[in-house]
Amino acid sequence: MAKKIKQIAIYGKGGIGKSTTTSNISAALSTLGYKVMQFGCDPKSDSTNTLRGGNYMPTVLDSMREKSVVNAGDVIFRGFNGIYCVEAGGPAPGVGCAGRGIISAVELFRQQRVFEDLDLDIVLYDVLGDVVCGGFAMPIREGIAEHVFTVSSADFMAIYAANNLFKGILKYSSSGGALLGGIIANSINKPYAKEIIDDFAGRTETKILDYVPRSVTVTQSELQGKTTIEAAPASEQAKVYIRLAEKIAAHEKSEVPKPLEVGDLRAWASGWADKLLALQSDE
Amino acid sequence: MSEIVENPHANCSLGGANATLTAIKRVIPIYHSGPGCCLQTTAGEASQGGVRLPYYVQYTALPCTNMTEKDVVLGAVEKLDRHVEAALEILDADAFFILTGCTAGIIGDDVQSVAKKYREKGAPVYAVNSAGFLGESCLGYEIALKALLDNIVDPAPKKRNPKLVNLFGVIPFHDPYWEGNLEEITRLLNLMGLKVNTFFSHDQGVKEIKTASSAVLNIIVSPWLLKGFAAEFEKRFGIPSLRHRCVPLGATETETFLRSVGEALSLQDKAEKVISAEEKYFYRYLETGIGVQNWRRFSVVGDASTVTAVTRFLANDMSFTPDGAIVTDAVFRPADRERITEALTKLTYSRPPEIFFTGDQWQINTALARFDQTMLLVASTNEHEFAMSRGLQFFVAAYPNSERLIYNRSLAGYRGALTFLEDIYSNL
Repeated sequence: MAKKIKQIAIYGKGGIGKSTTTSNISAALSTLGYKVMQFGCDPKSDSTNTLRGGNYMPTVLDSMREKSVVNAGDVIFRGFNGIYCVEAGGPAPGVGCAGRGIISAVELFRQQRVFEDLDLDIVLYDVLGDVVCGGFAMPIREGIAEHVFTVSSADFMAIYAANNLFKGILKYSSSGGALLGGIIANSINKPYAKEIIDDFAGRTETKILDYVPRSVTVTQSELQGKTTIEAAPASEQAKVYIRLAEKIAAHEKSEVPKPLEVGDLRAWASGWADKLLALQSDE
Repeated sequence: MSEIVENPHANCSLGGANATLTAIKRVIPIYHSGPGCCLQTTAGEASQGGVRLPYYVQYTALPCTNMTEKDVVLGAVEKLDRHVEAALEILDADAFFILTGCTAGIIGDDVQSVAKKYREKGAPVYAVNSAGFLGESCLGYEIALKALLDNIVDPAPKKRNPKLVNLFGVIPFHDPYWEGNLEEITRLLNLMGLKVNTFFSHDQGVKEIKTASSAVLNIIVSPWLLKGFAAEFEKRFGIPSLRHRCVPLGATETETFLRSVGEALSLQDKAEKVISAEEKYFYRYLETGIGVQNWRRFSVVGDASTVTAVTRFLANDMSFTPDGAIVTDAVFRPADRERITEALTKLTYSRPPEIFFTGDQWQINTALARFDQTMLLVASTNEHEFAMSRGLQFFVAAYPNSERLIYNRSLAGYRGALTFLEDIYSNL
């Protein structure tokens, strides 16, 4: 029997550090000995930049634009430590349908049985996090990813996006879709930030997989076009990512989240706003 | 909003828009859609409405961008541009209308800019947002007429033509008797000394549509269509509208219709003369068939105008007894439903029929099954099977009609009433 490939989707609001986190997890998993593919599902097609030294690579949709038949092998590039990198890409801004583009790209890889042929252990989908339409929910539907992790800071808009994602997961959960593995709490430095994200996790009955502090090492590495794992393997931050990768590799059981209704979410946020104001006046 | 409809009695708005525009002489649509939409809507509206095809350009000759997955993902404006260029090179028309299907509508391809580019080069290319998901055939008809108003009708007419009227409300192809209906109503209005713009008659085309803004009256023979269109026409050109509740059928209804046109245009004397002469002609025939014209109970299924016309004619003129009146149009405004209900219930002396608003076959058949005394069913091909299973007499009057070739036969005026009776009393 063929081995089961672990397929994981990582969602999060744009700019929250989702691609940075995903790339570092990919890099860490590869250093732990896994055969990894990172599949960027964002029309901006910058998910795998730091795995490839920032070099340009054609996307699946670039290839679709130019050729009548797309061979998945033509749009896979090897990055740091042999990681397979793919970018779905998207149409020119303002035209076409980026969501359908994600579906087309993911379907292409499924049809051509790329994951099996490459004998991969883990596939990570890095997906634009607002789940604005059916296309961006593609990786969480039946038969694609099994586990979803969301990268979120303690900012309200990031939590709002995470809550939307939970709604998407809940929707597909009854038809064999992916379930939630947990929240990767990013840029958590202040104690109140941890409290906010913990509180959100508690209310939505989800787990925090780990806390990733904001670190200048990450910025320094990215400026070199590298992940922290590659640029600063001995750093404290690299240790955080290795620990995160180990948890993801060992992760087995995901669950159905309980998203908050939008009114409840607003009420919850405004409760925190009052607490933070009180905190500020104490300082 | 979304509900399952079994055997719909209409096409989508793309189908309605295409049916309307291809009914105009020397007008060609350019489909910006998937190949299935193009085939389905062209074969659907046209050949299901009198089993005929448009005269000037038919579905096998239509340009279509045949959008595929790649076009959806990346957008297909450039592809459309190439198709328009090619269409202009090999096809000869007075106007080209780009019609969008659902795919182009969902991804929001900017079709207007493509049309504009060609217009700036002097080519008569116009774009219509007609995505099928917008609604049904009726909406497609309204969308197409609005496109004609916006693009073809002369925006600044120099003077009024006191004899010119526009006739609206008969949807080409969707009404299987559309050509005959337009011909009969035109004939009667001509007798009153009026010139009639129908847009779709054999001798009319883009040139006549341009002159619509110099008319003195819009006549709308429909209980509910073209409300916004009529208001827009009045706002832009000061042309009022006269709405009649249906395509007038038979002596009583046509008399009322002609009289109201006469009043609107101060042509009362002419209207009376036409009514008198036509009634003489009509009743001369009716009298000679008196021996066979026996009483029936009947039900009607179809678009609002046809159901109203047939019910009123058979009840008011023929003393038939109406059982059910089932309106298949997606009439969404409560006020419109009230107007249709009133037209169907305020009959001269007959008791009113039971009225239903549904386009769903199961609901229609369930409703019809309640009228076990009905002898005659005037409906669409969709109801033919039901009629056969109950041994009812059947007459096809509404869309879809895939069983009877119809050229100029009508369900309008005096002459349409005569041929309708010929059909009812055939195979004696």
